[in-house]
Amino acid sequence: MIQTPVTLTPKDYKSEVKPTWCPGCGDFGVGDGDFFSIGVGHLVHAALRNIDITVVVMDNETYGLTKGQTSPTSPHGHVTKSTPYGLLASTFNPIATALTLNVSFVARGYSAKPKELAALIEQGMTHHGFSFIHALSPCPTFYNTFDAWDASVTPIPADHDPSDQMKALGLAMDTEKQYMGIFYQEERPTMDQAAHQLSQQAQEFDLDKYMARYA
Amino acid sequence: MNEITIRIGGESGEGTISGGDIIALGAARWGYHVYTFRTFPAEILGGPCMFQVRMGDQPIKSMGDYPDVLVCLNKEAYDRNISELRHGGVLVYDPADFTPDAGDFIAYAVPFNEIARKEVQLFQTKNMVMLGAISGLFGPPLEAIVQVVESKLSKSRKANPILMEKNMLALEIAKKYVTQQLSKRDPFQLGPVEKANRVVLNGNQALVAGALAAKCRYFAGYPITPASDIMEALAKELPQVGGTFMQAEDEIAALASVLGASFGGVRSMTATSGPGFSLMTELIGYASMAEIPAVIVDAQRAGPSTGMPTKMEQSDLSFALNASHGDTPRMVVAPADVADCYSLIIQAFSMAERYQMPVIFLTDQSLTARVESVDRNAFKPMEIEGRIKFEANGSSANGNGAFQAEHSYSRYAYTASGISPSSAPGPGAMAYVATGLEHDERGHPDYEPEDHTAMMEKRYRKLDTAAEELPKPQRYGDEDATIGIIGWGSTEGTIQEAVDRAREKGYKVAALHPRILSPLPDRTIRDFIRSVKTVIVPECNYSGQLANLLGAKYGLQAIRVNKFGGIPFTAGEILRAIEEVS
Ligand SMILES: Cc1ncc(C[n+]2csc(CCOP(=O)(O)OP(=O)(O)O)c2C)c(N)n1
Ligand code: SF4
Repeated sequence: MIQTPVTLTPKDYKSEVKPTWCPGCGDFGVGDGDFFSIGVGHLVHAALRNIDITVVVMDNETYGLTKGQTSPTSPHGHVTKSTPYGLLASTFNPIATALTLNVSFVARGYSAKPKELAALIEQGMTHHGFSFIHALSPCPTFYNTFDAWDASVTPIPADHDPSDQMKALGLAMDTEKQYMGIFYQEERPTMDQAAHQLSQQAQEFDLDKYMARYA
Repeated sequence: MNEITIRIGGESGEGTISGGDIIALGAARWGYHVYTFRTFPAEILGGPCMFQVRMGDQPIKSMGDYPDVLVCLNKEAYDRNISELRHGGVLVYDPADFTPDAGDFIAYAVPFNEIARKEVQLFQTKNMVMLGAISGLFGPPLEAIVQVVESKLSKSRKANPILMEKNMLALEIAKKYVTQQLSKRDPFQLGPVEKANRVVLNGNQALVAGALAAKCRYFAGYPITPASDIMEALAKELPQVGGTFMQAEDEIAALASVLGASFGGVRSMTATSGPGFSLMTELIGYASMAEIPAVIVDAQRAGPSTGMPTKMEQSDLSFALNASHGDTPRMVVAPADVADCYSLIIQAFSMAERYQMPVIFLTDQSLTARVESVDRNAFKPMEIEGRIKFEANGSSANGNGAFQAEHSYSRYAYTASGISPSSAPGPGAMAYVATGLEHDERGHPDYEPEDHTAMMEKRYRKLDTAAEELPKPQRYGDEDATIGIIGWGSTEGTIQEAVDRAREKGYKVAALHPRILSPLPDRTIRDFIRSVKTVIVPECNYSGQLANLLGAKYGLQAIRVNKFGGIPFTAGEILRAIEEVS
């Protein structure tokens, strides 16, 4: 595997292109709709493969880019332009889902607590394996949940053992509180490592030798 | 003529297909040219199926109009196939199974079941009894069969000396039976042949060899008939040559990860059939927009929807040419035979890399499973075009002037050819965003009318460049033909055989068979159309998809010959069409 020793600074990630879509917060199109609805099948399998990537899902419980329809994480009964009589379906539980998929790093943060969130993202990126960070990030334009979430977010109890998957699931299923911090973490081999391992003995393709099987 | 077509009809699971395979392989290794056609039962175990093998000392271009010999392993096989036996052909059957009606054929009764049970004393050797009888009556020589059986059995999990001995015994006894107990009254007999340096393989096997030779080093796919064996072969082979394989959760993910790998600079491919190809359409647009090379194999089967998974049809052409919303340049190629599955997939990789767009490779069910003997020299290493790379010193491989490095890398630089120098992640890489949004030269989202216009023209310009650069199809047949045939895909050999037979009868006929269907070689096709009085377009689909395209592009009013039952054309059917228009 080629490891490129490049040191990037925050400046390298700055684009001179100003987002013009929405003045609200500028965090569009990376959220609960993409990951838990249209892309949920891919999220599941990326998790099962334990590929060494960090997924930060910015959850605003709405479809921002398409201007405010219901999303998989919207609460039951939620009234939007696409659910004028209230949301009839149940609500998707991101953390519980990630835990049952045996994701090797599961955490939650909140955009109103950027320092803590940044720390979680950093830990997720340092984690070797698939890391999943549920980032509560309200949409001030279409579904402002700042006040509600300010009240419901609670740090994960200090005595929680992040290697205890069942306890983590208990915390995830709590509907009153939204726990913040690392729910679960375990280091185990990734699929990219395993795939790399498979080709350790690889040799140049030899056409003549290959075709001999058909002679 | 030193040539024979044998069809074996039976139940799947009783050795119909494996028996046919052994004959084909034995004959090919002995030096005959072979060409097979088989049907697949709808069920995984059981159900009627047939295997047809045509063998001879001259190159064979089609499966044959009618079998010369029909071997029936049960009454149902007889009922289903007897009407297709040629006049004066031979029926071989077991009198314990049924008594044939009188007909215009010679019937040989061979007690397959009794020989296996009583003389060999192992019922499972019934298909060896059949093979021994076929060899004794028509060829190929028993040694040719023995060699294949020996090598197959010794590699099998069931390998043991007693089984080997019983199989050999079954072959011998059956051959002795037919030579001593029957008096041969038919003219069908394979004559001697010279050894040749050939390989024997099917379309999908050739395709996999081509992909590996083209240095395809990433494959992701989702199981679907008749493309799964491409996936399974690459799952085994890729890690051995330093590549990576992934079974994806669906075809969207398969193509998405292929595009990811290709963005990373690795030659990448996926393979699917109609239903999976349908799921890929959004990403085809993305690949075209973001200018990411990819090879997408669509092994066509009879549609629409899940259709007939094990039946042949050429009905994805219109879709392959248009799949995606928006105006989406892509390339479409279709192989004509097994050798083409090798060389054209290599060409497909070259095209994807050079023109930085998706290339759709339209094989079909019959070609995926068709076994042909092919001159070994057809499988030689071929040049592969590399992606034109951006070089940070201000010049690029195609010499298109200076580019700003670092943050203002013009990934989508406007060029005369439409091809812009690319950069893949890694040391010395240029940073850019490969977005599906319309963008400016640097890849930044851009909805300005003049920019969208210019970018659209740039992307389409690559097709014009390709049309100039890519090889043109060769005309087959008479220079002064009055009747022309334009076909595509796996029917080329059948069409050429029909042309040969028509010319022998005195007709003036020529055929054109473009392998590259997007971009079409306009001038070559216009010249061909102009050179003849009538153009026939034979296609195994309902709507005449190539005929529609030729009508739209060149105003051609073609004589359409369409077959859409799930079985390919025979040369006789195309010959009849030639005779009808004359
Ligand atoms: C196949 C497809 N269907 C629909 C859309 C339109 N679309 C764009 S963004 C979006 C919703 C995104 O919601 P979310 O992921 O929650 O992100 P947010 O906009 O809230 O940040 C939709 C439906 C699309 N781009 N592609
Ligand atoms: S305010 Fe809402 S719609 Fe606007 S960018 Fe933020 S999340 Fe998206």
